[in-house]
Amino acid sequence: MNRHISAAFTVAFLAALSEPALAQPAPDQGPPPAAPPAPAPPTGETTAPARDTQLQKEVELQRADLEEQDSRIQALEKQLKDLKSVQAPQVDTKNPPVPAPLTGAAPKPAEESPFKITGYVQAQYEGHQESEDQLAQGGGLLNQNRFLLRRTRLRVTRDWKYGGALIEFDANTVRGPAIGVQRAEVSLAYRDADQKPYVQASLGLFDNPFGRELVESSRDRVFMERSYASRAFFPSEPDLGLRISGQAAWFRYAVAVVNGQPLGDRTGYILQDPNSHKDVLGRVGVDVTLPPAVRVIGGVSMLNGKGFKPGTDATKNTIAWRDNISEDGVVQVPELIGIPAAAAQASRGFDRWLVGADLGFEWTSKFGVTHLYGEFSVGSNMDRNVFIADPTTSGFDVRELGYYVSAYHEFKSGPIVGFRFDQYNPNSDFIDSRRGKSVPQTETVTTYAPLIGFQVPHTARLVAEYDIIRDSMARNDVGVPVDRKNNVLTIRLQGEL
Amino acid sequence: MIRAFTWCLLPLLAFGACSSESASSGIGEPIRVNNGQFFSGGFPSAHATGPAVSQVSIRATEFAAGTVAKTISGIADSKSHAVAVALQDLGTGYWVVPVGGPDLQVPGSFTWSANSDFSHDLPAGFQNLLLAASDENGNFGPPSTFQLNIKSLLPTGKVVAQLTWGVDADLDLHIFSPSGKELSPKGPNTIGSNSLGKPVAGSGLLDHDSLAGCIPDGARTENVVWTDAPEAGTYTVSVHMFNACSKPAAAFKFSLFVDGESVLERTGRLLDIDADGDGPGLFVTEFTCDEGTGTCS
Repeated sequence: MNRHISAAFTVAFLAALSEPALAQPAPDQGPPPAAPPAPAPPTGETTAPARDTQLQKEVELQRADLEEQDSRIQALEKQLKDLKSVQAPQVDTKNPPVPAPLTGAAPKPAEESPFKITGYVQAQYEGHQESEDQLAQGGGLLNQNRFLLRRTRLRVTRDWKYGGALIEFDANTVRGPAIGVQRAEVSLAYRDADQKPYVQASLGLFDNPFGRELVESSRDRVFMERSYASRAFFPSEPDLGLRISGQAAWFRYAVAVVNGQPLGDRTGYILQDPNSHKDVLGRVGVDVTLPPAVRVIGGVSMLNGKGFKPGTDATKNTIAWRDNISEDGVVQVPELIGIPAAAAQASRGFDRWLVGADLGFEWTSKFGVTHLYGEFSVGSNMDRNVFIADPTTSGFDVRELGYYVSAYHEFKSGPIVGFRFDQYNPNSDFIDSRRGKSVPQTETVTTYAPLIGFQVPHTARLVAEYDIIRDSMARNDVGVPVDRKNNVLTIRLQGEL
Repeated sequence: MIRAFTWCLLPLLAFGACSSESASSGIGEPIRVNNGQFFSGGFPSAHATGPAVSQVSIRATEFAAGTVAKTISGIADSKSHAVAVALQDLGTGYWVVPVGGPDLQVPGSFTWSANSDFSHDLPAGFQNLLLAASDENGNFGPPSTFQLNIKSLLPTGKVVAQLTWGVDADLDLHIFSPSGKELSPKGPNTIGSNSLGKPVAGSGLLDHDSLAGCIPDGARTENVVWTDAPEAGTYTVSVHMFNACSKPAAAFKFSLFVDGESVLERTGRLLDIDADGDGPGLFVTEFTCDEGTGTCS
């Protein structure tokens, strides 16, 4: 301890000596030098030889002072050298240090791991209005009032000077216990001094670069899930492909070529590709901070791709019984019908596209940070999750429209309040039949999602959200489509590793 | 700020709690209309100005509980927009189906159709089907009543030995008759057939092999039916797990009915390790049938 203190004093003293002016030594740094005599008041009676003698004495005194300081500096330098030799690492002659691999790895302090491991857990309770203690046809659970492990993410990353690699695993119990790869990508990058990539090429499983919600980490999003439209267009965030992305100052861009069968795709062939056509999507945008404390994030996105409608296998002749004549549960000969063998039906493809725009503001004040975001998407044949788009059967393209506006505030002391309004129209041309007449009918699903919570930044967050869902999936006692009772309450606790 | 948010939140919560319709699948109801909307509560009361259901059509009014996809259709008058369907005094609500197109044979009226499933638990006997049409304001007219004759799932016979179980495993009922013959899916007769291939008098016949090949049939039930007085003597009953069908265990119940009345019940359980593909299985019980009276106990 004393050695450290003396070293600190030594360094401080040397720093003081390095001042351009000749600073006076501190009183406790040794014997005080002889004080220079005060200059004699100029008098007209003083003779020239007398002045020379006096000046000579002053020069001698200063010279002695400098010599004394030189000797002290030399002594201190010696002390410093001794200290450095004591603190220097001992060289192991038996195990000499391994030379750095020729990978272009940036030099790092010896104690820092090249891997960065992060993760978080989202555990929650869900209460659904439509929940029922029954099984759906096929065995699906109708009860959805349950505790749920929504996401358990573990991410390992390693960055090199000209690239990096990332692996992220997810475990959840949404449809029973499941563990899988959420992201896995390897990148080549050319970065600026702050390690921000001017250009980055990534190959593997990554989040589709479209809009704001899709690329926003589930860890950061305070709302439970993405908006209805975003979930319909993209059942899950990641897809397989190649992405070119980067940034320069306030400009952001990302373009990707992907298989077009993202994780969670309910049309089948998840993370595979039934057609050779690749989906091309991307976003260009800005991320700029305006004085004094407003951050503006915005951009436009597009997607162009090709969907796939699988055909059918060839079948053999079969006999079927249809109890449609007597309806008595007894086999009658006329009720037996032959189903002739059928040839295989060819698979068909269809075009799909999606364009969108997003704009967001983040305002930092003495009360905390206020976030205001909005996003708008319009597309064709894009629904791959909820109202599955199938233009090959309907014979016409399905037009879809979705948007949301969300606002939330993070108080400095921890509380969070927020609200999101979103709408999704899965088919702008939907027709309902009433009393034999075709009537235009909206299938729009509107969700009001207020939330309240509390967070300890980068540690934990407790949020409760109540989704008031307005749709047209039930019918009233006149037979007209009306809202179905399917609101959802979710209470989620998120903890970070 | 929080207080203001709370006051903003309350109307929203109220908003979310009102004017929505039930999301119940109605799977627990005695009747389930596949193309209808379920409403909890009593059947709608009649309104003086409500429209009427003028015609009801059902191909067979006598059918077994558990019948699926039975079409109930008809005609409702010109003001009709929907038709309510329910079984009188059964269930917790009713179903509503919108009317279809105009009926071409009766101008001014509309067709309607309810594709209905009937519960396995539907009580046997006569049941009244209630039907009422509503106008555009939701005013229902006077209900029409249509009588159905629901047959029991228990086969008709002098004596019935029934095995039911709780999971989709392949269980088989084996009965050793007094004459020493073993009834099983491979030999579904307690005595045998005569030279004409007809079962001899006193024979019990197995109705079917439920879950054969692990293919679910929705029954999980096998019955041995004696249409007349069984062969006198003592019968030995065993239950065999032919294939567990990936189920860890199967609980079962054996029941003996005489003239429709249960006279004997035994329960048990088999584990997946009991599935051996062949063999007599687990001994369950014995019962004796008297000569002449045909009763068993």
